[in-house]
Amino acid sequence: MTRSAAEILDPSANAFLTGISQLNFRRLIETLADGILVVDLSGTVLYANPAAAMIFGYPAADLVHIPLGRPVISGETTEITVHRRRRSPADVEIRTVEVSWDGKPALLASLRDVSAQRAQEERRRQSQKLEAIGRLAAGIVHDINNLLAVFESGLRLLQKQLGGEAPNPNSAMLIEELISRTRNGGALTQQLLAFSRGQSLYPETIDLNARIEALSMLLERTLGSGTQVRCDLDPALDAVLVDANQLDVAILNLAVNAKDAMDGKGTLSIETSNSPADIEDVPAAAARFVRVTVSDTGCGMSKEVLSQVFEPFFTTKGDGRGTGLGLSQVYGFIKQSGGHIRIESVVGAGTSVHLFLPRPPRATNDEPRSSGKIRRKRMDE
Amino acid sequence: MSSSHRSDPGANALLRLYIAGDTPSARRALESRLRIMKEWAGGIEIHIVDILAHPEAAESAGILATPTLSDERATPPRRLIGDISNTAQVLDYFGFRGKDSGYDHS
Ligand SMILES: Nc1ncnc2c1ncn2[C@@H]1O[C@H](COP(=O)(O)OP(=O)(O)O)[C@@H](O)[C@H]1O
Ligand SMILES: [Mg+2]
Repeated sequence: MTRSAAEILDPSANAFLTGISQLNFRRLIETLADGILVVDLSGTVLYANPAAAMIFGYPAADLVHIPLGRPVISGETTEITVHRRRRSPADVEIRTVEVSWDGKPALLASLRDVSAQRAQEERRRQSQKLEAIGRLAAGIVHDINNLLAVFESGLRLLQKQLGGEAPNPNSAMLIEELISRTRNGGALTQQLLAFSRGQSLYPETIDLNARIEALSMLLERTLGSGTQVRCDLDPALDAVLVDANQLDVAILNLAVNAKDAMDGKGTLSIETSNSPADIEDVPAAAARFVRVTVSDTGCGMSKEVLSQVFEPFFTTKGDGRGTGLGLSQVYGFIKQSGGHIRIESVVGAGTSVHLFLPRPPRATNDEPRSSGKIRRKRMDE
Repeated sequence: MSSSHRSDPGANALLRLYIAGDTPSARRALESRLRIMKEWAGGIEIHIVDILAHPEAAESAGILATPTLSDERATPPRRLIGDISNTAQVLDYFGFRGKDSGYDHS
């Protein structure tokens, strides 16, 4: 085999290649970040550069001779999904042109793995959408609170006007009943506010491990005998700065989801770590956050479900078992605390939810404390 | 550029369309599938295989990328990877001539 590089069929394109030796050309292609595949007309791979091998998850030598199939010829970039063993699928942009290879017509496909970029866009889109929903919810809650206030003061006025001498004793009872219903309504709107960003948090410096230990006793009793609760708490864990009640609610929400996912059988683990590894979009996570992870050995979720779980009212639980508000509470709380959340899930194997919670500002000599005030929303995108 | 043409385009051909879940490219492929089947009314049947639902089917067929349109009766299987919305290219590859051009010249 004398020729190792593809020749573009269009003769005018050859002009660009004059002056480049075969060897240089080969080196160029071997070091390209984009994947290059040469495929014969029946769809068998003739050549794969290292980047292409990486995308497919095979050594380049193994890719050659594989009857991959013929890539559709198109002047434009189109998208395919590449499936790899034991790795998540990759979104790949592909563009295919006709070339000649060893003197025979063939196809050259250039491939670019855009998965990371797509995932990032998706996260951004998601957080924008949630923010919009949160604002909407906050607005509605405000209006409903006003209405409730009108009802309540109206009822109080009626109560006063009737005094002790109601024409019908039931009227007084009815008014009392209506007043307590408006209070229920008020409590409900407060809960709704928890899912929007307008809600006020009262962050304090707390001992996360102690909090989890207290909760785990409750969990052990409520989860049922088929499920085990395991705690793996980092003894060197630093304090975190969050709203303690919201933190409890968040962990309970995660535990309830884990319980539902395991359907009465499995292990719920709660793990803390003082030096979490970096998460993709948060460099130096270790320095600013501690991590708590709630894992289960339950049913896991598909990519489709995973992309929607933070949406208020999104639930896959039928017959009224789900409200779809659990993870949106967790999300709202974490974002507002300046933390991060990341979910890993494998269908049939289980789910891990990682919460990255902020440490309090350090009160050392080199970094004076900023009058004890909390820097909120410092990590907002 | 395809090497073989079907002598009898009226015969029923069975292709498989491998997709993975509900992605934009899968949706496009499904639309193209309907167009191809309509264009060759009754002549081409295309079964859909969602490899997320049937990973073992993809594994045994050696499908590495989706969407892939595959004629598994050929050996090795004749396969087209990527956007199949250019139905002329697709039909040509699988040996179906455009209806208007007839199928008598070779
Ligand atoms: N640990 C988990 N394992 C599997 N699926 C989960 C898990 N946590 C959440 N989910 C999915 O996310 C959806 C939304 O969760 P959530 O917001 O807590 O609402 P709810 O639990 O009321 O349905 C659930 O209906 C479920 O499909
Ligand atoms: Mg829930």
